[in-house]
Amino acid sequence: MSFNTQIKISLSLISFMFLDLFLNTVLFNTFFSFNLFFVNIFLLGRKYFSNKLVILIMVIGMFYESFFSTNYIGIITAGIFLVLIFSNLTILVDSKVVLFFIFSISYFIFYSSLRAGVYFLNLNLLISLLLNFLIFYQIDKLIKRDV
Amino acid sequence: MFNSPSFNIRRYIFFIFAIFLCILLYIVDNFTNKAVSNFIPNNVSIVTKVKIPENLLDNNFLMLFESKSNLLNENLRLKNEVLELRRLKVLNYQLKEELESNNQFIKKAQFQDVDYISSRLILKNANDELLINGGRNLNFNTGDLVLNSQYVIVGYLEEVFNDYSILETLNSPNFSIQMIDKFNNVYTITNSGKQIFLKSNNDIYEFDNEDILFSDSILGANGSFPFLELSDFELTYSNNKLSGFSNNIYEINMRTLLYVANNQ
Repeated sequence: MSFNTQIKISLSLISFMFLDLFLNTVLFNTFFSFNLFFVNIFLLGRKYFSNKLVILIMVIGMFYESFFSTNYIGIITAGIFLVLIFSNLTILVDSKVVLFFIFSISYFIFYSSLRAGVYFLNLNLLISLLLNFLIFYQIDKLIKRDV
Repeated sequence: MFNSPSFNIRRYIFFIFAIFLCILLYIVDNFTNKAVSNFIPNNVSIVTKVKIPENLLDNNFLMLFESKSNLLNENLRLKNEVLELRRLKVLNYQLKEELESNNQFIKKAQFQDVDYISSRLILKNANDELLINGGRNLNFNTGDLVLNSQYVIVGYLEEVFNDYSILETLNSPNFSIQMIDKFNNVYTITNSGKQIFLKSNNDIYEFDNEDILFSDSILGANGSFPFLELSDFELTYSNNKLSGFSNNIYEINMRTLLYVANNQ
């Protein structure tokens, strides 16, 4: 993975991070939320998985946690790494059902790291899961798989 | 069903190490009372530093084409004027709204020993918490009560950083506040995620359904401010205890003007 690609990946992650928060703040509803940052991470795991990503993800994860979360540091970054591993596993299996299943598990892992507590599992999360899977699936179809 | 590449744990070894490192950081942060995670927000003023440049708002970039031709120039000038007028219209609307909100607030507010600092919602963060403008730079303190233009409590400051603070409202699952009524009965109001719950802390022998709940300095608040009415709750009275629930959750959006009650 070239230096240029790493720069592009970090820029896309940072911009989606802000876009994600901006969209959810402006829309501000209790029914669904856009999680483009998560979708971006999932796509990253499928298309550009590399050990060179580790430091980059570490820095971006810490940045995300420092400014946009009040949880203890490290939990969300660990969640991002788990999502990357899970999303990379999806390239081993060519099945939409398995893809959705792994996407759902990753989604729950990522959001349980964000919203620790018994109330994180609700209708909002399920609608958001479907919505974000559709976004992910459409983008995934658009990008040609290069593995 | 399984295609290449095949599963290989070594492919993920650095990622697994990174997860362990994150867990280590989590433990360190946990034992140092968030010293690591609060280091950057406490030292960097992100809200005041990230501002849209004025020249971008004025759309001066279009003026670069001034010398091309008079027609084009005129067209651009008019466009700029329209943009400026639109911007002023929006600004005018916002200021009117702010003035109206301030007037409403001034009519009801008591100004003894308390400063009111106006603030607005900046962002809803990844934890669904509300970030509002102003922090230690405006002398905000953890626990300061936040009111709306109707002079009603909407929440309190959970955490205060350099130039922004975390606001806990009735929507927050961790919301918990103590209130008092005119008979000096103390109630705890919490949020279950979907409903607001009220529970009396002491035995209750006398109460009024229409009574308004107030914050009080004996409960650690920095003043006496009105909150919900008891009639907002579906009340149940048994064994000298009063409890109830309500679905009346006050929504806050980016245009809601908030007032942080700050001790003088």
